[in-house]
Order: sequence, then structure tokens, then C-alpha cells
Amino acid sequence: MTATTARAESASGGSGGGGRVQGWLRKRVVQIVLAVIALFWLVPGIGLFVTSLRPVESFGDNGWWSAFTHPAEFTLQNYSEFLGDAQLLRSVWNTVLIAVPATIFPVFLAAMAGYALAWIPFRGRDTLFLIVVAMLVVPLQMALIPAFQIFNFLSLTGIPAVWVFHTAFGLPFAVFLMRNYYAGLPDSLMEAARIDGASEWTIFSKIVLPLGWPALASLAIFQFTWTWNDLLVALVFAGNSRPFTVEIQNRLGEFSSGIGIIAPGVFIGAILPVAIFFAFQRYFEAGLLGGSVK
Amino acid sequence: MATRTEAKRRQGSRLYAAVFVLPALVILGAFVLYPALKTIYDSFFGRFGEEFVGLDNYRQMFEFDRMRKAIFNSFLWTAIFPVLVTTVGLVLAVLADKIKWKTAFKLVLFLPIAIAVMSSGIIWRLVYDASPDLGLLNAAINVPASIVSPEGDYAGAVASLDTVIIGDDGSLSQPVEVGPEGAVSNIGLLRVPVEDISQSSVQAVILAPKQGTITGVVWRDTRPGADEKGVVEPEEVGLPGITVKLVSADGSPVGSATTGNDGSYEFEDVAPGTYQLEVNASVLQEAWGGVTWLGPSLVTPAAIIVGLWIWAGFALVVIGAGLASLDRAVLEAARVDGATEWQVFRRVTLPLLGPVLGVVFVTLTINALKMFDLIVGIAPGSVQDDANVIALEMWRTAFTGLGDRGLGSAIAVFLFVLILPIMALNLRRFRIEEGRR
Amino acid sequence: MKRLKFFAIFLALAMVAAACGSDSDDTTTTTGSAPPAATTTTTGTTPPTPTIPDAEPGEIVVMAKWGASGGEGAAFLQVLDAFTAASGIDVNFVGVGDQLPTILSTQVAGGQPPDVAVLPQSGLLNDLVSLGALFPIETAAGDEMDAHFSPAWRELGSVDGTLYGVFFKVANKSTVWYDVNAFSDNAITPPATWADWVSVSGDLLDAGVTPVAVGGADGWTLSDWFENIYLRTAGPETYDQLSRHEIPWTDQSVRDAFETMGEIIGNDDFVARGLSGALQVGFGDSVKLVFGDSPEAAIVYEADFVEGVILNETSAQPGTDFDFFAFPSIGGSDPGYTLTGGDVAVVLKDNPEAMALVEYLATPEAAEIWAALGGFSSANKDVDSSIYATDLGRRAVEGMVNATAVRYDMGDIMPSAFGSTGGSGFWGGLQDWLENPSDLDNVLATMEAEAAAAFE
Repeated sequence: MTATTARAESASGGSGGGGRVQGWLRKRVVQIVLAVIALFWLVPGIGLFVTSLRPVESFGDNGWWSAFTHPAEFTLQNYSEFLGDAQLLRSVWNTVLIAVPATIFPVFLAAMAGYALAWIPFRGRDTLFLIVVAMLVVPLQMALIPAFQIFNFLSLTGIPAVWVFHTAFGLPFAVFLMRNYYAGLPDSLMEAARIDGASEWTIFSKIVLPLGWPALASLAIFQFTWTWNDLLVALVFAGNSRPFTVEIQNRLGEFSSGIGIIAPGVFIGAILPVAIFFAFQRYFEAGLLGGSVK
Repeated sequence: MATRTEAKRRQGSRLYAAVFVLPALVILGAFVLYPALKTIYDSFFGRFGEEFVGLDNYRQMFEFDRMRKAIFNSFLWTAIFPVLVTTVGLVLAVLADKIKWKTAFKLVLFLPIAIAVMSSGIIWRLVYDASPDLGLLNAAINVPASIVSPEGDYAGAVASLDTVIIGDDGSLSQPVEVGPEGAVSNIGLLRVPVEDISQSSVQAVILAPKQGTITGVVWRDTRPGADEKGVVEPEEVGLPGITVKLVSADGSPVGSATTGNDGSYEFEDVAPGTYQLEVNASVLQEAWGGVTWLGPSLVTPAAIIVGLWIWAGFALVVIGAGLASLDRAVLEAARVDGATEWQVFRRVTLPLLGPVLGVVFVTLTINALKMFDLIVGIAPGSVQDDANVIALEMWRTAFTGLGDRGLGSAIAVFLFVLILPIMALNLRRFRIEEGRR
Repeated sequence: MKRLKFFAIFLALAMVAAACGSDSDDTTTTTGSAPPAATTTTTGTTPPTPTIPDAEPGEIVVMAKWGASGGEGAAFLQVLDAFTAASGIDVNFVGVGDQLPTILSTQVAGGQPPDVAVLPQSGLLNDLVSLGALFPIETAAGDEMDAHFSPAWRELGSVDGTLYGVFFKVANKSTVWYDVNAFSDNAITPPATWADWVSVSGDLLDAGVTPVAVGGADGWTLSDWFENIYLRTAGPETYDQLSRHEIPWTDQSVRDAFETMGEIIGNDDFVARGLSGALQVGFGDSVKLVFGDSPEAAIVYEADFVEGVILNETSAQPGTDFDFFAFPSIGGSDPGYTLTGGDVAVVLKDNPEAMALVEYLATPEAAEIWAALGGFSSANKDVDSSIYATDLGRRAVEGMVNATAVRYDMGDIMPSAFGSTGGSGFWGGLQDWLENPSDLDNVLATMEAEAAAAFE
């Protein structure tokens, strides 16, 4: 380790001469690299977006970039057809009705289970955790028929059935994530709380839950998005309360590629997940947790 | 310390544990564990679950090429995908941490997940389409490709008579015997679509030999209705702008000429002898056809890239969350102690991120093995076999047509078994971690 | 923080309330999710159509693959509406798309199937019968079938002589669609024999027009090519033998048919984008390759539903831009041979309302409702042919009605695991062949192995 003094200074945010220039350059390079990566990431989506603004007949004639040389071609027709369809809009509402509880339930249950598996000692705890994680393996297709039978038995149909199924299949990953995250919390904190005589519930709700927000938030985002975009589970269990994915699928003509309806549907459908992302990502901010450890 | 309160506490904590864990366990037990066990049970039975067949399904599973290809592809996915995505996610999480617009960046990477996995198939078909007119990737490659080997004026044309020799480079040549009265040498072309005929093109002429010259036409040797090949007929137009070269018997060039609107060319002052008439291959050069990214050999790598596009956001967000919760004080302490950024990263950040990285990696590995929607969405029907993975094979067996539940279940069990080593590794890491706690 | 938690719980409760309420809110023709056994007094409306047995007007669930809000779904809904008007029986229509076999088998296995389902393949009918999932419809629809359909259709809907299904919507699969202008510009008339077709292809190629577009990404298009050819080269009796797997796929007759097929679609120059390119082109795109704005070929072969695709997805006009010729005869085969496919309605729950519906679907009146809307063909002899929406549609139906021999799509008759599964069996084998036509022996051997497994 050479030039320790210079390095130490730069760690605290700035120094003289070479260190500063180096830091500045590095920062610029990082910015550029990330900007390029972001651009590449966006391009495929941009392709579909431009396609959604083109008339249906032009798909398959030429690539979406040719739309820019024929600007008159741009049309909002695909979108207006989508938005003008009352049934389709109703199905978007159905999707909300499905996705919100199907997110809240597993997240909440996983937080509780994760905490217990991380910090409440009981016999067989670790084995139980591993079994839960092992369930990540089970493909949901295999559970369709047994679940159908159980729902029949309970006379549970429609949207609530979809909630239960999504909760079940969201749990393994959720528990996995939350338990591992909670396990990383400092022992000292837990010890202190216990010594203070706090009950498990108090520890959970007042300490662990707030500290676990980043993980909880990212979990919520993914669970929400997954259930929001689901097609198969809703197709099998939702009955007449079709979410927009099923509704779009219904409209695909028998032989067309369906881009004319899928393209606007994709972007309209992405609005809510993106909004949720924005709502929850604040909780990732580093500063939030800095002092709360005390 | 076996004090009264301690014992009571332990009892109380067991109760609490039950309350905390039970709801999740009940739902998991009914909807995940029970179906899993039922699947194992079903795997020993026949198509619709009636007759017991023992290990027949397992034996049958490996008989078809399809399954073997599926295993191979699943292996590829498992070997490449988790490592690739976790690494990319980690790198991006660390880099993104340093910029101001990190939320926007995360959003951009998150967008693919917000879009259904099925529609990412459509999105990427627009990128991967084999035709340079439709697929973004091929269109991009076509830009330099069309400069290196540009499309000829009469792309794809072939000679109408067998007597024309096709050179190794695609050029056409025809032997010409020149006598004292000169010679006429015509070359007819076929497969010239109407769109390729130039505006200035007119009816091909029938030429008579002229002393001391080689003359002839290069013309479109086809017309509607009765049509004799090799003969210039009415309604058959000449093809202008073609460079013809005259080469003497020993290969040395004698001259070159360009065809006129009626397809005619002329070489003057030609001594009697044997010559070759040549049409350059470049006129016939076809446009670059584009790489078939979704063809049998490339479809799996292509799909893995799509997988990266979708899942990197997941890795980024989760690892980012882990990064956000790191105790800054520890990092600062390390920096103050004089560690370089790289050392801080390797010695402090990485180990602290251990559990989170573990979650991401294991999840991605299991997802790689369960990969299904994406492949169905992206692979055209003709390459489903080449893109096949175990989860897809299971789906096709159990659910398409009326399905073979026994065989499908056996494949699912096979999938479970494959994941066991990962679980075992996880278990070991887990034990080590718990030991530390 | 606490506020957020309360909000979440409140939201969840609101969801539950809303969700339970929203189940009755849907726009298909139904007045609520009343259980099928609900008793309400008959309203006394006399049905104009044949006597519907004393059905207690309840609600039945009908499942089909036509999306409830797509063109076909809307048309079928009109048929169902007419049924409701005539019988007082409410219908809850569920359109599930391509996943119908999966959804249906899940619901059958789970014990809660729909009352009536419209199956896209008769192979599925056979499979369901062997599962014991279907109920015979002889009493309800037998008479209608005998009155309006030729025996061939009754047989297709039966297993071991018992009638299980009514073929409601059928397709003439021996129609070859071509670009009218490409033909007239090159003074080409539609070929009447296969040999003519090969020579016409050569002429088109010479003129710089790629003859044929093939949607090889969808294996079923290739299977339809094969079936038409096999029917003509091997004859109807041998066709039946192959579809029942009484002769193996390695039989010489099969080999001959493949080699004949190769004369056109095995020729890299004859197929738009070449053989490997064709494997990337789906059926819908193959139609656009001929009739879209940037055509790459002049001919595309598929069933009469191509007309619907052309009208919906391109701006080509019937007669002036597109037309069809009947699949040509091969080596002197009877020009009247026709290949067909269809959707068959079956009953999964034994109740009078379901039976009433299938009976209704066998009547000419039911067929005429959809026929008037276009994109529909019926095998019902008594449908007034002037009601068909387009001239071309009418010609296609007449081709079926007047056929000297009708055969059903082989892939749809055979057990679906072999005959109609993407990427494997029949369809997959044909795709493997298209990729490399010279590898015929291998392809046939694999197909035979998979067929043997599926047929046992």
C-alpha cells in the first residue's frame, strides 16, 4: 500500500492534484459506461414502442426503424383501440385486484416467517428453512391440478383463488430472501432488545421490520410485477374476472402475431409496475439506515 | 442458564415461532409441498394415473433425442446464466452506487421485468429476426455488410443455358469462337424480377455477326407464355449496365464493354480465335441474407442474452438493496485505514454482501433450471427442439395434447433431483454461516 | 410506518370486498354466476328451432379456443345469443385460446369441467372419450346429424359407433391461394395437376418471382401439405391406414409422398427465404409474404381460413388481388379429393341444457348465423350457400360439399401427443425434413418411433 496518505484523503471525498483528477476521470468513465449500458438495455423496448405507434398493416413489411423515414405513418390507433375497449380497461382493474393482495400476503407472511427462522430459536428450525427454500424448485405447472382440486373442495373460485396460489408460489423466494436478510442484522441489536425484555412481536414490528425495508421493498416490487404479468395462473383459476393478460390473449386472432394489441398492452400494462418501483425504491437509499442501528 | 425465566422464555418463543411461521407453512404445505409429493407419486404411474408402471417413465424419459437435447441445454443455462447475471448485477450495483442518477438507471434495468416475460419474446424477435429488413441486429450488421459485398443490380440472377460456365467466384463465362465473319455471343439471364429491370431497358436486339467484332446481348431470357430459352424473343428486354469482359484463350484480358439499353455490347478489332466472355459476379451478388439468430445453433445463446436482459435488473435491485443496507461506518473505517477501493470491495463489501449474493445466485440457478416462459416466447416452432430445456420438455409432455402425466411427473422429479446439489452446496454454506453466528 | 401498515391492511380488505363483488361483473352473455342446477320457471317462449327437450333454464358453461373478444369469439357469441333467445338457457362463454387442451384437461382432472367444449381437434375427442370425460349425444343430436350431415362427419364425431360430437365449424384444407396479378403478369393459369404446378413454379422462378411461401415455423402447415399430397398419391384407403397407424411411417407410400412434396417445397429456390428461412416464418407471416405490401412469393397453401387472414392483415382484395385454386391432382388422382379440418362440440356434463346446445349447433340455422359473418364454413348440407359472406368462401364450401372423397386432417385425428404437438411427432418431423430434405430416412424413422409410443 503506497501513498497511503493520498489515498486516505481521497476516501474522504477529495484531495489535491493527481488524486482529484483521477477521481474525476473515473467518475466520468463510469457515467459513460453506465449510460451506454442503459441505452443498450432500452433499445429492444424502444423497438416495440415504435412498433406500437405504427399501423397494423406495416408490421412485417419492414423494420420498426423505417418508421422514422415515414413520419406520417405514426398513429395512435393501436392505443386508442386498446383504451377505448371497456372490457379491456375493466380487465386492467381486475389485474390490480389480483396483484395487490397477491403481493401483500406473501410479503407479510414471509417477513414474519423469515424473522422467526432467523432469530427465534426452536428445534428443527434450520431444516424447516431449507425445506422451504427447496420448494423454490417446484414448477408451478405441476401444482395446477392439485390446487384445482383443493379449491374445488373449498369452493374457492375466481380472484381469491388466484391470491392463494400466487401467495403459495411467491413464498419460497420471499422467505428465502427475508430470512437471509434478517440473519445479517447485527447480533448486538437483538441481544440488546432481548435483554430489555421486549417480546418477539415488539422486536419484529419495531426493530426488524423497519430495518428490513430495502429487502421488503424489493421483494414487493418483484412479487407485484410477477403477479401483475401472470397469464397462466389467472387463465386456470380466475374464471370470469380476467386480468388484462388473459384479456389480451383472448383477442389474439387465431393466426395473427397479435403485435397490434400486445404492443400497446405491454406499455400500458407496464405503467403500474413502474409506478410501484418508483414508490418503493426510496427505501433503498443508504442514508435511511445509517443511524437507526443505534 | 436454566433459570425459570429462561425456560419460560423458550416455551414462549416456541409459541411465537409457531405463530410467525405457521400461516406460511400451511399455504406452502398445501399448494407447494403436497403437489410436489403428488408429482413424485404420479411419476410411477401411467399417462392418466391409472396403472402402476414403476420406473418405466424414467427409462422412457431418456430414450428420445429431445430429452437429451433438453438436458444439454439446461446444463448450458445453469452453467452460464447465474454466473453471468449475478456478476453483471453486482458490477452494475457497485457502479451505479456512485452516480447521481442511480434510480433512473435501476429503472431502465428493471423495465424488462415490468414487461411480461412472454412479450419479451416479441420484443426480441424484432431484434433477432433473420431478415435484415426486419431484425434490428441484422439490420445493424447489414450496414457494413452491404458496403463490403453490395447487392448487384441483378442480384440472384442465373444463366438461362447450361452452356454458360459458373466460375468459383460466381462469375459467368461463355466460350466464343470467332471466325472471319465475327461472332455473336448472347448470355441470357433468368430470375430477374420485374422490379430489377431498369427504366431505360428496352427490347433486346437480335444481332448479326460483324466482321472483326464480337457482339451480343445480355438479356432477360423469360417472357409470359411460350418461351424458348437461349433465344431472344419479343417481350424479352435487354439488361443495361452490365460490364462484360473479353478474355483470350490463355486467360489474358482483351477488353471490356458495358451493355446498352437493349442489352447489347460490342468488342471491335477482334482477331479470330477462341475467347471467353465473362460477366462479373458482383452484378449477380445477392444482398447479405442475415444471420439466423433464432436458428438451431444460435437459439440457446440468443435466449440466454434475453434472460440476462430480463434478470439483470432483478440482480441489480436485490444486490443494490443489500449494498444500501451495509453499515457505512465499517466501509469508512476500512477506507480510513488506507485500503484502496478495490480492496474495500474485495475484503469488506463482498463478504458482507455474501448472504444477498447467495440468494441471488441460488434463485437464478433455480430459475435457469425452471426456465420456460422465455423459451416458449422466443423460439419459433421449428427450433423448439433445439432450444428445449427440461422444464419445457416437462410442460410439453404433461400438458400439450392431453398429456402424459406420468412421464411429465418423472421429468419434474428429474428436475428436482438436479437441483439437489445446489441445495447441498447451499446447505453447507448455510452451516458455515450459522456457525459464525 | 404504522400508517403504512394500516393502509395496507385496509387496502387488502377493500380488495377482498371488491373482488367478491366483481365476480358477477362480466360482459359475456350471462346474467350472473348462478349454479347450473338453479331452477327458474320456463318463460314460455316457443323456440323456432327444433324442440329443445324440457330444459330448466339454468346456465351452462361453454369453452372454446376463440377468444371471447376476438373476431371469432364475437361471432360465436352471436350464435350462442340466438340459442339463449330460442331456449331460455343462459350461456357463459369462456374463450381460452391455444391453451384449451391444457385448461380443459386440468379442469377435467380437477372435477369441474365446462358443460360444453368446442375442441379444435378430433384427436382430442378420442382422448377425452378414453378418459370417460364425454357423454354420448345420440339422443339429443343424432337425428339432426343424420338429417343434415353426410355420414363421414357423423363418423368423425363418433368413437366405436357412439356419437359424441357435432362438427360445428369446418375448413376446406385443399385450397391453394395465389397472387392474381403475379399469375396474370406471367400468363400463368392455376395448375390443375401437380406436374403443372412444378412447371408453373419453374416459370415463376425464371421470371424472378419466388413461387411459394411456406410457414415452416408452424409445423401444422407442413402437415397439411403432406396430407393433401398423401391423400392423392396413396389414395383414401391408405390414408386411413396411416392415420390409424396400421402402416408405419417408414412405408414406401409415405416415402413417395415426401419425395413428391420435395419437388416444390423441398426445393430451396422455390421457397421464399429458402428452406431454413421458411422455418422461421410463421403461418400468418407466410400469408403476408404473398399478399402483404412487400411480397416475396406468389403462392401460399393453407385452408380456407387464409381468406380471413388476408382480409384482416393485408389490403389485398378478393378476386382482383387474391384467389384460390383447388389442390391439384397428382399422378391422375381424382380431382375431387378434399382434405378438411374442423371444430367439434362435445358434452362434458350430462344435463339437458348442454344437450340442447349441441343439438342446436347441428341445425342449419345455427351455422347460418356465423356463415353470414364470414370466416366460417359449415359441413351442414342444408345451409343456404348464398348466405356465405364472400364468393371465395362459398366456393370453398362447395368444394367440400361436392367432394368425391373427404378426409379429415390426419394430424388432428391421431393421438394429440403425436399428431398435433408443436415441435415433435408429426409436426416436428416435418420441420426436421424441411430443414434437410435429404435426411428423409432418419426423419421417418424418428416419426415412426414417436408414433409407436403415442399410439400404444
